[in-house]
Amino acid sequence: MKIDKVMTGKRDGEVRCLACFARFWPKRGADRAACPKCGMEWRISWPFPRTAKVKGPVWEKYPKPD
Amino acid sequence: MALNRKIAYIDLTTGQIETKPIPIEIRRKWIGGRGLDAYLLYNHTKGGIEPLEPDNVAIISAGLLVGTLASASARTHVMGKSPLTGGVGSANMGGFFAPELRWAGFDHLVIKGKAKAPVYIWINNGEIQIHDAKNVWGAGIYDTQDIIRKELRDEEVQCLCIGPGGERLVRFANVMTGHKNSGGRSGMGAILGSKNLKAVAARGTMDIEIAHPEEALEYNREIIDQVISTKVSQIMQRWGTMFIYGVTNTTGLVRTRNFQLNQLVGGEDIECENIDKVSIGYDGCFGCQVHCRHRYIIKEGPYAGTYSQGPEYTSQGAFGAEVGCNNMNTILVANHLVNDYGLDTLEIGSMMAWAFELYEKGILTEKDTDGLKLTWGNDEAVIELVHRIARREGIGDILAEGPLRAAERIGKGSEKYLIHVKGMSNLHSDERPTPSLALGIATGTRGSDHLRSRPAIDLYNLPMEVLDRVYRQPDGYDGPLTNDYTKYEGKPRIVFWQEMNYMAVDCTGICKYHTVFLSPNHLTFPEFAKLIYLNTGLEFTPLEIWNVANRAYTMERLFNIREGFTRDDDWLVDRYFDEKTRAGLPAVRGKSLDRKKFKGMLDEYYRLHEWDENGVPTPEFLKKMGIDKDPSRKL
Repeated sequence: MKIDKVMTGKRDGEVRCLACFARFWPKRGADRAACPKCGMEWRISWPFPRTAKVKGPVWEKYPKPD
Repeated sequence: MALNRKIAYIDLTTGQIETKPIPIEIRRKWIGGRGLDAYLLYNHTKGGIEPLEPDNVAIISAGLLVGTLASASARTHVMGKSPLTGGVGSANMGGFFAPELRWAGFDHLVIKGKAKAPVYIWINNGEIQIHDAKNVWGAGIYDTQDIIRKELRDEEVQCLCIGPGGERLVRFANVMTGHKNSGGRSGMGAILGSKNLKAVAARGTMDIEIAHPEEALEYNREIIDQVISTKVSQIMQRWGTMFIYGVTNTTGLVRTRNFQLNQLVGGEDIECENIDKVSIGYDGCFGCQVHCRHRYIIKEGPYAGTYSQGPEYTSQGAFGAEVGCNNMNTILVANHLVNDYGLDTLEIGSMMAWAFELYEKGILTEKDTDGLKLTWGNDEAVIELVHRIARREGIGDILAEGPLRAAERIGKGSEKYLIHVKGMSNLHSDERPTPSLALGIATGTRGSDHLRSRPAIDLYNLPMEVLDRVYRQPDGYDGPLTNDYTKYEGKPRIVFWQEMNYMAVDCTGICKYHTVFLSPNHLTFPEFAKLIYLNTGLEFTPLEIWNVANRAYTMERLFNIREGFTRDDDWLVDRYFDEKTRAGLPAVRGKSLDRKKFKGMLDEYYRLHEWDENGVPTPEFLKKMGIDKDPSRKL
């Protein structure tokens, strides 16, 4: 079953930074984006053309374990 | 009508079967599903019975709204005294079995005794028969259902069944229906196995009359829109519960290498997006529009070409982070195997992770494991260990006993590496930075539990007005709340609220993912009340639904108290307090739980429940709930 319903309005293409919870809008289709508030960089995936989610950290830039 | 489904009492020792209607006053007090099952469990068992002996019961039910015009009303609930913990055993699964059970005329089955030889129960349009199961005993979950359908000459038959895990009394054996719908936790499959009960098969065409059909249909459309419009539902439609890993591992909330780290660093291969490489489509449960599971074909290795469904978030932990593996294929294969064997994914993963840490520490050696190298990231060892646990071979026989019994057999201080509550292992979440989630797993009635009180939305840093809207109703709570997941203040309330919310939804038979679990904008008490009224005609206010949930939850608590559980069991192992997290985002690094603050949360949690300082429901509270005279055996 193909799901056509996608995010609309202010949630269209929005993600929340997992570090500071700021909402931001990566460039459509981008696979990476940095939070404009705290600068943390994330890998981004797009389950639907207008729905974005944080896929995971950019590990090279992420703090290593203590 | 929706209220005329019956209860059946089935004695497998004598073959006697008795059926009764369910009085309205019982419905008003317990609603159905898990709520009424809690009453039945307490009333049909005595304290101190052995879970794998005939005196234990297997209670199987469909929630009150199952099979009606309520979306995602598909859930089966199974209950008994847990072979794993000795306390409340309870498991819940989706699929298509529960609706079929209701169409066959029944809401609740109370099964006791033990058959002389393997049997399955066949329920068809009001009639119940006990059939010989010699043709299916020994079969995996998938074959079992096919064989029974062929035997009954009806491809529409739905089965709840156990696999070889349950037959061999693996203490965390599950019950299954379909390809991957699992009543996983607390060993309900072992109870059925101990009764020589292979399956319950149901097929029914008895209509469920809807009280207000046009309004119910219209309201259901609103409910569907409400659920599907949330971002979390849309992501689940795409990647199932596996998407949760992206959030939790990124943050540093994933238990890795048993408990040594709180993040699978670089764990990209098991991210949910990679399921797209093997997925051939989606599947869902009865009446649900989310369709949150994948159908996939394994592409690599000895199991290449095998079809399966899933996997869930729990498998990313069980066969990924917990054992230090970063290989999606391992997860896909192991998911397939545990489903066919009929084993709890979560428990087996935790048991394996514990064994791997014991091996690392030299407490287990190659001699103990018959040469199997339990080293972190050893994918082959993970798969082989699944087989050995299911077959109870060598070290598998020890691990099949569950955490406490296995630690007793191994000795050598092995118990201090267990991650469990009340004898049931934890999900692969690391709750050291999240006091609310920690309190939830410590106080769960069936043991360490991420599904009966988890305030997942505590992780979202939601605006206070959203928390107020959700957590202050329906009883008008006016105490503290906080939206910082690392804080302790206000967390007992949200744990208590979620307990009531999940109990209520379990009474209805609607899927938890439709409720306030992963989204604050999903269904809760007002929607439950309206759905029940429109579909059944029974009127409840949201507060009355809350009270039913509170009553049923208290009944579960009374069961555990009768079995000897105390306040000491509402606690976490020392590692949560003594070892600090070492990975993740700054907010979660260097965290461990504070014993004094945790004790404070537990005290507040008991106060909210109107239990005394030892966690025992007060006589006044029991009278208020109308359960001061139980066990009363009214049903």
